[in-house]
Amino acid sequence: MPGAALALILGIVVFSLVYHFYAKWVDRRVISADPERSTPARTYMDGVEFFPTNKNVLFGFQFKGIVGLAPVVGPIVAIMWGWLPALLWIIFGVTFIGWVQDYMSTMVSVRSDGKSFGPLSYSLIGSRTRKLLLLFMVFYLFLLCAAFAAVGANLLKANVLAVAPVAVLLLVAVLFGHMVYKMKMSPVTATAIALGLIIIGLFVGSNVPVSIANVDVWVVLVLLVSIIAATTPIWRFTQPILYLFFYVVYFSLILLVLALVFGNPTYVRPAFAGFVAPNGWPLWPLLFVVIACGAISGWHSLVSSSSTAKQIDKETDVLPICGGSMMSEGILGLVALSIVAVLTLDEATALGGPAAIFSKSGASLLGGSAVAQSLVGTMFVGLALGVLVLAIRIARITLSELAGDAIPALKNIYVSAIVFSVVVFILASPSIGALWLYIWVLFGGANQLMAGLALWIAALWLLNEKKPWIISGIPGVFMIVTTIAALVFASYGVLTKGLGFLATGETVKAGGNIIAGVIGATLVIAALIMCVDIYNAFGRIKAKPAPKVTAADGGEEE
Amino acid sequence: MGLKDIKKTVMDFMYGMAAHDMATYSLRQRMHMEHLFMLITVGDMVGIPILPPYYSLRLLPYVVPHVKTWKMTLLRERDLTDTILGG
Repeated sequence: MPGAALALILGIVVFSLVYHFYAKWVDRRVISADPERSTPARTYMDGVEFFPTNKNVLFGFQFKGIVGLAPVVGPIVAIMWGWLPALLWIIFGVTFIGWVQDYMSTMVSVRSDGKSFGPLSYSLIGSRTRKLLLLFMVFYLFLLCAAFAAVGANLLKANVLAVAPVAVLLLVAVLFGHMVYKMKMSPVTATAIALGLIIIGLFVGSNVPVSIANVDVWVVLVLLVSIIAATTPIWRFTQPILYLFFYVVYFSLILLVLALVFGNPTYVRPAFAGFVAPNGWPLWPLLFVVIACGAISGWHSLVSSSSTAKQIDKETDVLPICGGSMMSEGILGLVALSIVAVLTLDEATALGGPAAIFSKSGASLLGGSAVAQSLVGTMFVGLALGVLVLAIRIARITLSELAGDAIPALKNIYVSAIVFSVVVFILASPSIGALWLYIWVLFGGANQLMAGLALWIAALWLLNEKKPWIISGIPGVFMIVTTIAALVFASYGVLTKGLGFLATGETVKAGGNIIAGVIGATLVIAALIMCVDIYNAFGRIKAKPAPKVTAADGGEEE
Repeated sequence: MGLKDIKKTVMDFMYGMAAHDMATYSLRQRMHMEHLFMLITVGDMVGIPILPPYYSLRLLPYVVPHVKTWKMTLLRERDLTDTILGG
């Protein structure tokens, strides 16, 4: 049986080869990245949104922007088909689809005056697709928050030793914000004080187990923290939380990678458990949606086109920043897979859901002490909570922008945050909402639909530029077809369950399932409409004649 | 690549992960405040006269360096993706 170190080394070797041969070929031969060509950051430099940023700084920014809990949770769920399909999908997904999407989203934006995803879909496909993108985003936010609230709640329930350290960290975050922004303390001093308090919190918290058996209570608490973060000024709570969790998360991750490489635990799970998982779920299409961010994710295209593209100094920086970040995230996916593949099925079943499996297995890799359990538990709660506090803030803004004119109450920050959180609670609560696995597939589906759209925006741009569009078009077709199939499966599953609950008179449970099913069905319809629009745009652009270069005296190009 | 370069690369990477988003957010906040000030003082440049021209003229020398950036930001096409991710 192979060991965890072998999987990581295989990933690093393959991604290095992909980077040096395929990715560089695309960058140099297909796109012809030119370090002398002016980028939007230089052309429109305003020192705020558009400004050339150091390649290494931007790599860190992009990596942090795309990494959340999803690349960790996906492989843990996907191991139900065996570790080999998950390993192959992460490697081939990153190789042929993941980095292409991240790189092309940024490059298309850089070559289009820094336009973000919305204006690009409008100019290349049409106005309807732009509206569909907004619909994807709204549903994506609901599903993302529901999936992460459920994971965060289950993590807190499973890691009784992580609750106190997380609470300490949240309090320290408030203090940190106050020290830096109100007391004008140096960020370095404030960071040192905050990290000292967090370390004390970890050691003290590892002796103070906090246990609440009802997951609903944890969902409410997690959402409450997120609502506070979403309604207070960003510097007061959200920014400090993200900043301080960063240290805990990446310190723990480095420790886990070292433990996997030097400990080299053996994979004991079966390599292949069949095309149909024990719960009846088929490998195709579900594996490709369950593992989203470790292989490809639509979220990356939003970060790339809206933020990173406006800070690119040279065109030749795009590949190391965006391609490099995606490949690094693929390695993180392999780390997650390795952590869970070293447990037998019985051990994993005894631990419970993916949240508990990952955190307890990770803690045992670090020696299994109470402090290790506190640290790994805090790290995973940090990954979930970090995404959630930001996502609910984004959702609040989205809700008030989209529905604020029709329902003026939603312009109130408290109303919009609470309304959004109530829907999230209905989806995420184990006693009201749909089964967590279905929510995860629906979330992955919304995410992968955005990825399919991003890949097709890139393909249409390549077609328009008379370049080989298939490098992005074929992955785009695969992602859209697979995602639609997965969404049909998940929507049918939850709707059937919802109607079943309705028939037995369990109306509350039926409500959560039916809401999830309706969201899934709407995404399927939106995806089909998007396919028609993309097809029409493809024909329109293909029929467009190549521009003729005319000489000043009227003579044509020779 | 010497040890000094490696240290700088690591520090840049760390800064990018830990604090770059905080720094850009603060810059954006300042930009929004400055643009609000400019809208009040020289809003007539984009068809929104708010302050009497006498005061606008008195303040003009202070805002001139920012006029080009201000107009570009104000007139640039934005949508929800920019609002939620770009600030």
